[in-house]
Amino acid sequence: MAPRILAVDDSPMMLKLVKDTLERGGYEVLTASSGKEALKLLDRAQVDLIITDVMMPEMDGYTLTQLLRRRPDTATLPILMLTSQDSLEAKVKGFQAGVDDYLTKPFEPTELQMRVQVLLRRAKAAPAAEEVPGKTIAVFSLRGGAGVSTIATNLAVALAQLWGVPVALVDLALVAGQSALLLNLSLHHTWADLAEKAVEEIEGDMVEQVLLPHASGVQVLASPPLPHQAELVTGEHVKRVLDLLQRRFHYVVLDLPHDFSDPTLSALDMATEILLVLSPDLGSVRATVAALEAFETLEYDPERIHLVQNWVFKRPGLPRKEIEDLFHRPIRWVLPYMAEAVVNAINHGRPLALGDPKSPVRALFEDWAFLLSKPEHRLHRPEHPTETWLRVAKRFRKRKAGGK
Amino acid sequence: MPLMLENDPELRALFEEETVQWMGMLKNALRRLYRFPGDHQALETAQRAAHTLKGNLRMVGLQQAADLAAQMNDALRTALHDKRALTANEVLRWARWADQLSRLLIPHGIPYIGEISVEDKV
Repeated sequence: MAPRILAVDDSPMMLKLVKDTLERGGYEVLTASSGKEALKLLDRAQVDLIITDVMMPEMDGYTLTQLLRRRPDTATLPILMLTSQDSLEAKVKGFQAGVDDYLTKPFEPTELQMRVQVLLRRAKAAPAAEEVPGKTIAVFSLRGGAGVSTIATNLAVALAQLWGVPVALVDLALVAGQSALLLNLSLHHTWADLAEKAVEEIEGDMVEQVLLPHASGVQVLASPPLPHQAELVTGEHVKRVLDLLQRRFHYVVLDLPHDFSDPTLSALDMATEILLVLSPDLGSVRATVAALEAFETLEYDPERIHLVQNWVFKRPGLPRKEIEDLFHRPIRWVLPYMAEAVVNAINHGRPLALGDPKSPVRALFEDWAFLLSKPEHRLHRPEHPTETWLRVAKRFRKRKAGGK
Repeated sequence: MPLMLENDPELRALFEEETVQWMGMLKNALRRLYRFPGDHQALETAQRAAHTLKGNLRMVGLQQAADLAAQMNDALRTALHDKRALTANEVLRWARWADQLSRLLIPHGIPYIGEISVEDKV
């Protein structure tokens, strides 16, 4: 199959010249006349390389490149800047924005074909792991009161702080969801804005517009304010929205309700990992057994499922060993009892993961965030490590040295 | 007529359509600047038009016209960068360049845009 190239330019004449040149070279060429149109097109079509002009209305080529570099599905895609701006300053700005190559107009057709060929060859040689879409982490419990929203929200915050990238937090507890509240965000937009649309009409930029931005880097898709609006959200809506978010965010965290409704099942199907939350009491343990049985019926890979124990009450509770024996699997993480801190965090709309950097509970969420991160992030030191990353690295080094 | 345009009627139609559009935008933006020298948006529009004309004209091989568009683009970009108040004489100089550019394009099927004169000042 011929490599597919997306050319972005507000000049139809230039688009025709680029298209003709590359089609003669055996490539398939898609065109977009603006950055916005390009982003919209990339929600539906996969391409192997992007050629962009610089000076375009609404969004210039630098901004488009920066946005493409933030999206998991285009983060490593070769980008060639094709412009009549020939100054050194413009070239430096292009490379700083993230382009791989720079060619000035007027271009020689053979040179354009050669540069495209070289960029595609280099991209083919790059490791495929870089091309994986955003990682989706679902936080779930079949019984209420286990702290699902608290864990989902703090995990999303910790991931955003750890990697310095935007993280999507999707509240699927569609009736009276808590995510926006936990981050003190007003419900200007919610799932209700998307649920009104036919699934096939929902586009990536539409989803971005309804996300509520939080200073931590988390962007929340909040549950609707009115219970009857929740009924409009279908499993198909959830699939479409998550697919679009996975293309645009490295991490998508799902705050799920305590049911196996159609939207919940669609979300669980799309999750890369599932944190199954329980508290050490008989009711919660029984609900967890039921959830695990359902996951088995659904043939979910057991490796995707991690048990998280949350002490939502003061001891005594069921012993950890007994719970692990019952499930024939280990509890991966334990959140200690801290009702007062949790209630304070909710009342002030300030998540624990943004509390005192020295607090053990913040450290816990930061460490979980690291362990749940994509391998391509986890296995390399970032070029510009965040404060959170430096703290996590220090703790892991200390544990390694201590043999823990 | 450059060979590239002669051999490709579709490209020629696009070239003519776009050049007429950009020349019109350039003229209107310069007219507005003459009346309102502090209109930053008009200055941006004029620069964008000159920039695109530079690229398109070079691409089809109309070098003399492209050089004139490049000269305008550089002057407009500097004015944008400097963020200083424009003078009427400065805008008139750009208008003369736009006029020259338009005359150069007549043989290539682009209608003359008309002069921008002092009568335009309200």
